[in-house]
Amino acid sequence: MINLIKNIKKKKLLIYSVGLIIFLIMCYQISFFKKVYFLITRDYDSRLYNTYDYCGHESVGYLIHLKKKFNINYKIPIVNYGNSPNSSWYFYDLKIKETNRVIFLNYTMGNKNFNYELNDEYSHNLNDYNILDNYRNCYLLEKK
Amino acid sequence: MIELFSILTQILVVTVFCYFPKNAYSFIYRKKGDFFQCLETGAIFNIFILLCLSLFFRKHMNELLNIFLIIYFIFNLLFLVKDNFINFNKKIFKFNSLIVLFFLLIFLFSVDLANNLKIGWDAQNFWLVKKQIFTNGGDILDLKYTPRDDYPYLGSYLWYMYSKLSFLGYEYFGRIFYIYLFVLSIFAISQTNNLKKIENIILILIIIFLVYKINLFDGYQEILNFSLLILMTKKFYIFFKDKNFEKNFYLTLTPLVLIINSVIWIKNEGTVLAMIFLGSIFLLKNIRFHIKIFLLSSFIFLVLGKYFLFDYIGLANEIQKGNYEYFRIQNFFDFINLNRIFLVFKYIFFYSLEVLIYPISITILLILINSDKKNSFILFMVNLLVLSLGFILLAFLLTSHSLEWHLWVALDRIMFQTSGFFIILIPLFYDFLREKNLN
Repeated sequence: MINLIKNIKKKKLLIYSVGLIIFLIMCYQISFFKKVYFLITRDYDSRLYNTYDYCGHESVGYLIHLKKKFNINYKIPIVNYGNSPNSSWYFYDLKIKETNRVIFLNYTMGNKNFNYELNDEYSHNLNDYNILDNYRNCYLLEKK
Repeated sequence: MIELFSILTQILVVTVFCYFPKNAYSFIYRKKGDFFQCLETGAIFNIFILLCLSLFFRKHMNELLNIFLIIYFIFNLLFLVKDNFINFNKKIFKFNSLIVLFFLLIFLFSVDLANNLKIGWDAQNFWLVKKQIFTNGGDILDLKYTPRDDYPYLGSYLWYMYSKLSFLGYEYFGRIFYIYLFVLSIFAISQTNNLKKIENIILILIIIFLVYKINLFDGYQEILNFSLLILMTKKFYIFFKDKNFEKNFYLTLTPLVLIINSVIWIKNEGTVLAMIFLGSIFLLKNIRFHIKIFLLSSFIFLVLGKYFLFDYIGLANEIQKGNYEYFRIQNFFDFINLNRIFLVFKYIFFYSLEVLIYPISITILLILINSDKKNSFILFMVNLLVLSLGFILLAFLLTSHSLEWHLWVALDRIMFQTSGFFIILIPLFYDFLREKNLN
């Protein structure tokens, strides 16, 4: 009888071990332990920063840089001249306030997919603004 | 460390909100439900309750909404504790490997999500914008100012609600609910037949291996409909198997009707997916007429309800505005011709290597039909497959966009979404193999 129980336990142990091995493979596949480490050591913004381009596509990295450098605590309008979605969602938790500042991302005057006439809320001419910050073709501008 | 702790807390919060009291479960199904059955039914009711909240609570009623949520949480928590910790027997202290695996997987995928915060293209353009409306204190009446105002908003509302209900308030906490529903639906489907726990575990891990990718949770809504379609087929399967359910079908079919409602409110194609599901049921001979009428009238009621509510909110009532505007009967053959059909099938073939559930389901269906030609549920699955493929074919053939571009950007997502119908074939096939071995 004891042998039988032992045998059953051995069988169960073997099956559970197989389950555990599959689970560990899954952990390895998604780099679980590395990601737990990152989650502990890196804050939300740093992880966002690594996910998106710094100045290109959504340019979230540049927005993070601006938020930190200028202590931004209100929403600044964003114009993305590239083909990517507008990343104004990054400022979702900030209050709405009237401002004469604007952020231009992936600024160019030659994007055929960007409708310059329709997006006429802000002048597309950089000479109309004071440049507060600039990295490649990403700008924080203030109306003159 | 705080974020890690918040993820764990968030998983518990979602569990409490998705819990369904065992007494209520046994009132509907006339039998006792286990932890997972209560959770899956609870998740369905939870989504429905949140839809109702989005409709009733306006922007100036935020405090009232918070009070309601607190009461809802406490009420559910009390039942969760009562059902699982107070009315305990010795078994509760046994190591329940399924429950442990369930929470472990959700935690695993949540950590993965927390490190891959990228939000998809459409999600940033449409779904996140709708979520932002609620986050910034708006309500459904403000949704008309968002791009693609013909898109439903339930997925975005769930995203908003669960990020609001989290400790840190980051947007991705809302998407943890998507992970939760996904894992829950896979646990639910793998328990359709009475298998041993270890068999369940192996099945769950196989299905997850086949389906899981982190970009499923990048804000696109397909994952919600995929999970709900899994639950939909499961609810129908248990109704189909147990003839006792027919006695009080209006009760036992209620969760199914609620799932159909959720699918309709998550994505526009949800209405078509519900039609495919109901169409497959209507083609079955051994489903009684009054049940078909009940399902049909519920569907019409839900679709009309959505139509009038969209009208009231001020949203566009067109399905996929702009996608089919050039199609006319006069130019029928410009849209439907052999070249285009061949192109769609070519893409379906190559994308099915990406959405592996399709080739696997077709293989399983062929084997199951071969062994039992009179099995009505298998016929139901065949109906689903044929109608789903027909829908995919038509949806792309009639497009006003460039066909190849449309297939390129959307086919994988629509195939993934519809593949939720066929996940049930994996546990059914396992059951078939087991019985064959026993014989």
